Amino acid sequence: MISRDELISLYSTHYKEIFNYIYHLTGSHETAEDILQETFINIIEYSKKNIINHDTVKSLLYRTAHNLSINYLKKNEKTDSLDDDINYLPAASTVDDDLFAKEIHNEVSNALQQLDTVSRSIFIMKRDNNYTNEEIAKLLHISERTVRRKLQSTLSHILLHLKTKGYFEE
Amino acid sequence: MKHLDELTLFALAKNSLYGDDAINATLHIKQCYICSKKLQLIQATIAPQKIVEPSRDILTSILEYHSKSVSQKESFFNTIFNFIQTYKRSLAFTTGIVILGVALLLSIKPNYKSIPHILYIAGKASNTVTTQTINEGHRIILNESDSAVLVANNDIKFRLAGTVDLTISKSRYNTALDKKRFQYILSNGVANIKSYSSHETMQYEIKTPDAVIQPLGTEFYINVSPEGTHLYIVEGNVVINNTATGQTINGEIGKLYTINKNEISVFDIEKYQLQWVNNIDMSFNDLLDNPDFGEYSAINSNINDNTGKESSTETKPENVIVPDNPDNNEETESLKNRNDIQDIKELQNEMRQLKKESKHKHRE
Repeated sequence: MISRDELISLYSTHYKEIFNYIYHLTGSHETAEDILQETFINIIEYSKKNIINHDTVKSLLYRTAHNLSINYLKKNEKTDSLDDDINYLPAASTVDDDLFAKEIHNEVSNALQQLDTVSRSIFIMKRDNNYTNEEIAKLLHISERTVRRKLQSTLSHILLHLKTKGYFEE
Repeated sequence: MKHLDELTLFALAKNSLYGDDAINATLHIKQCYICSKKLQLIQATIAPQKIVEPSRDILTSILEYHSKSVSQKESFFNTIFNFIQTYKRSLAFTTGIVILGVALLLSIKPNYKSIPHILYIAGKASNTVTTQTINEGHRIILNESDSAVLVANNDIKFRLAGTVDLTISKSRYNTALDKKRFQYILSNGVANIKSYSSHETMQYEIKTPDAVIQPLGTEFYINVSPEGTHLYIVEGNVVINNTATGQTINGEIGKLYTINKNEISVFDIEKYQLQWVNNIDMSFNDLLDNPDFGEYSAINSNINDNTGKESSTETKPENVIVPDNPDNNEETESLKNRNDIQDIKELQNEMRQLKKESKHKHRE
């Protein structure tokens, strides 16, 4: 079974990344907290019968968090809108740019809600963690081809959504 | 002009496009408004997000759960539970083997069949002998005018005459002795018991209201009455136990033992001096002088089980045999094989000799 010190070390290293991943996937801060807690409890239970491998523990954390989030989303059918008070760091420093980026971000959130959880997971991992396709494939237990295909279809979907909202014309 | 695909735009926005791909894509962006606008939107889309933090102390909750898990894991029952969980398949397999083994042992245990008893009842006036198979647990009640021979396991022979109440207890298998054990409960009446077998497969006792008598290959007479139990040993060894006092003695040949609630009394006495011994011998002597007795229905014998419920089988014609007619039924074969009549004739001869000796002594 995992020791107390190992658990503290594991939590300190990964909790932010996993929490943000869950938060952007589920769209709820409170739910993200619950799922983060449940993720680490699952790891404790897993360690009772299995040896925790430090090379693969990150993948295990992501998979657990991903599955718990999917279960939550299935139960609640649709993703909640992102909490208003927590948003993004603006890409540019001007007020105009801030407003533009905020609008885009909200539209992207709306567009993502219409996608499946795997597509959403891939996009979030790409956007927030700069994971390569290979890394995402390993974390989610899917093929790299699927990662590439789903990412392209997600980007097309977002651009189409922005186009319908009048952000550009072809 | 062919537009850039979304993945190339995304890679460009992420600065992860290198070499000629990056140069060509940048040149295209400068010339194409649509791709330029798309790139701008994708850049906005993937703009760094604000890092969010949990607002409550999740680590404390996780560590509490961890502490509980550690203490549970250390508990004895949890260890057993985990052991069962881990080795449930092996345990199930072992249990199956044990059950199979027990079933096999039970299937090869000694045979518990009832010890066979055959009762021959003779009517003095009717020249008839009825034969009946008796089971363990049955009770034999004879009237004053009856004479009967009970043969158990083709070895122990009881001669019963007059009013007799005898119950055969159900046998129990004694694993230590590897023998069946059972009792004959003689509540009332006179019996001559003869058995010379070493009893390799069974052990029996005669229980009276006063004593428990264990024969060890012997012949003796026993008379049970309300006054006590009288035992006369003709041959062999007998262990006598007084039920009331717990006194145990080894009986000797040619002695009369009287057992009652107070003591065991011993008398040196000749066999012919005992009237009740003479009576039973005479009873069989008369019976065997003329073996072709009359109607079986003249015998008023009742054979009951232990509950006192009367058995109605004993007067049925199929249970009746006439010794001279060997083709009647299986019971006839049984009787013939056991040479019972021959044995009784031997007893008759012995009795005649005793009578002669008795007369001779009286004359002297």
